[in-house]
Amino acid sequence: MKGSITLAGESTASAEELKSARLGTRFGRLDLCSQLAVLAVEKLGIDFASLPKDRIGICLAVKAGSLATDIEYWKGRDSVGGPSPSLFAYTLPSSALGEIAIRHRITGPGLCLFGDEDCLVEEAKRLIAEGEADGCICVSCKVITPEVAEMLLIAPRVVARAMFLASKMQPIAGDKA
Amino acid sequence: MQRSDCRMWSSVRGGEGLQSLASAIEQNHTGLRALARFEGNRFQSRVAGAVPEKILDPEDDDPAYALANIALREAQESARAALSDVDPKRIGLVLSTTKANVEALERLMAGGRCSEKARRHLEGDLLAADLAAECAAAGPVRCVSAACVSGLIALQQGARLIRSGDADAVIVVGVDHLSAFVATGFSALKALDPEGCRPFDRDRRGLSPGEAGAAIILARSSSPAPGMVYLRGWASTNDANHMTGPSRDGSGLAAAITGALNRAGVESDHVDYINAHGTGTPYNDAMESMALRTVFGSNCPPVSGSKGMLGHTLGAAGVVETILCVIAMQTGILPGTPRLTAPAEGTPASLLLEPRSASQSRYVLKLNTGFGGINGAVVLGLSS
Repeated sequence: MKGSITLAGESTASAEELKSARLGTRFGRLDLCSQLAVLAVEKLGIDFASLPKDRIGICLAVKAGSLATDIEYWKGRDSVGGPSPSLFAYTLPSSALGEIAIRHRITGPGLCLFGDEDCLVEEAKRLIAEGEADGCICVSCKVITPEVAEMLLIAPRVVARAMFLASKMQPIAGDKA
Repeated sequence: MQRSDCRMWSSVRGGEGLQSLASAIEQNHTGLRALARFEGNRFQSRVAGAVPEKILDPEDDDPAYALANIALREAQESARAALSDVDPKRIGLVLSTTKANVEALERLMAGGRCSEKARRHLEGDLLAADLAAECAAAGPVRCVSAACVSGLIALQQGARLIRSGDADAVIVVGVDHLSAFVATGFSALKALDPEGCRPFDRDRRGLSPGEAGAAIILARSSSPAPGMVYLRGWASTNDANHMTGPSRDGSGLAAAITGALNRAGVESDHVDYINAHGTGTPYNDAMESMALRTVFGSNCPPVSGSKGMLGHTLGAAGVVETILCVIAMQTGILPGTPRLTAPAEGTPASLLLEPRSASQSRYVLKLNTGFGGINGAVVLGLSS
């Protein structure tokens, strides 16, 4: 990788913390994965408003995709009026990426990967090295609810982790968390 | 490394092959039809673009894997000579899918059974890993899921892996299969056209779901070969505006188009053809028309949309529609817009209703947009 890329912030968010999160009325309408991702990015404490929005990328890794929301959505398949259209929008693994972009008005490139966070930083660095972005928000979400765990035969875990990688940018750490 | 380092080979819709798609382009054929499985109140429309049953067994509990695997093998065969000298450890695979094997979820939640493999493929990254193992691609493996732009983002990711030196060739596979899960979702959003999608038509009412497995092989190339298609430039942007609706002014897509052209070093007046996202939903087509007007003004190159032919194949859309562009460049026949009869006000005057011969198609632009505000654009170049 070319140039100097620094880790300008790192944070985590848990399901327990969501109960006390005060992030506006829209936040309550998001699915669990998006809430965790948005909260983790908020806890970075970075003032994205001071950075060029079209030069910030977002890389998201979602273990088990949107399966937790998929299950909730599909439970409504036989209900009167059919399943929830608003929930359907969150049955895409990349929905948290859209919510982060909307919240911070970030218009740069996006990448969403199924899976663990193993290659997340590597891919963010690749975006920056290719000149597509000067900074990149990296978010890893694991929303393995008990129902998902039962379906995939793996252990439950609900957590999100966020990082901000920067090159050429001087991010300002705020106090938004 | 030069921009023109990614040559392309392709395969489409497992089993139907490139020749079938080339014929469909020439005949402006629509593959949409009414399906018995989408009867009932839950579905706003029965019309969809389904792969023939002779190719995909309706009882298969892992249709995503089946579709992807057939396309993968066909693409490998077409690129066999070029890949023969590449170390398998230098061959990567990028899978593009929105729902992976959602068939397993439907079966398990209905109290049914499914195989261990089908259950495993609920996770896109594990589906990608199994496809890579199947084709002995031992390099980096990724599974991209970026709504309806997944295919173009996967192509971009494949090119990045090659340019960064982590792979010499990357197999980009796009797959999504028709599911009740997705059809009810779009029905709930009232986003399906009961008569079948009519991109850019004044009477358009929505999209038609489709399914496909498609594969493109990207390979490093130091010396351009005549007649080969190259991935010249790309960009992705976000509207940062709305989860399910496009930005009304098309500025996000316009920025993606401009970014891709800049990266390719291609002026807007050198673009010979544009394959639009063209879902057939009122807002998307209007937004896309506006974005094209922003970038190209009144001199928009010939443009058409292909979802009236194949349906909206979601995670496969970017890959299969890019293959359609490759065919257009290599045959000199620009695709029409199947099922479009009366262009809506505000759509480009250069909209192609019927296929047409092109004197040249040196540079082609492929566009997709998706939920979550994501926009993608790639620029393809034909080597002379």
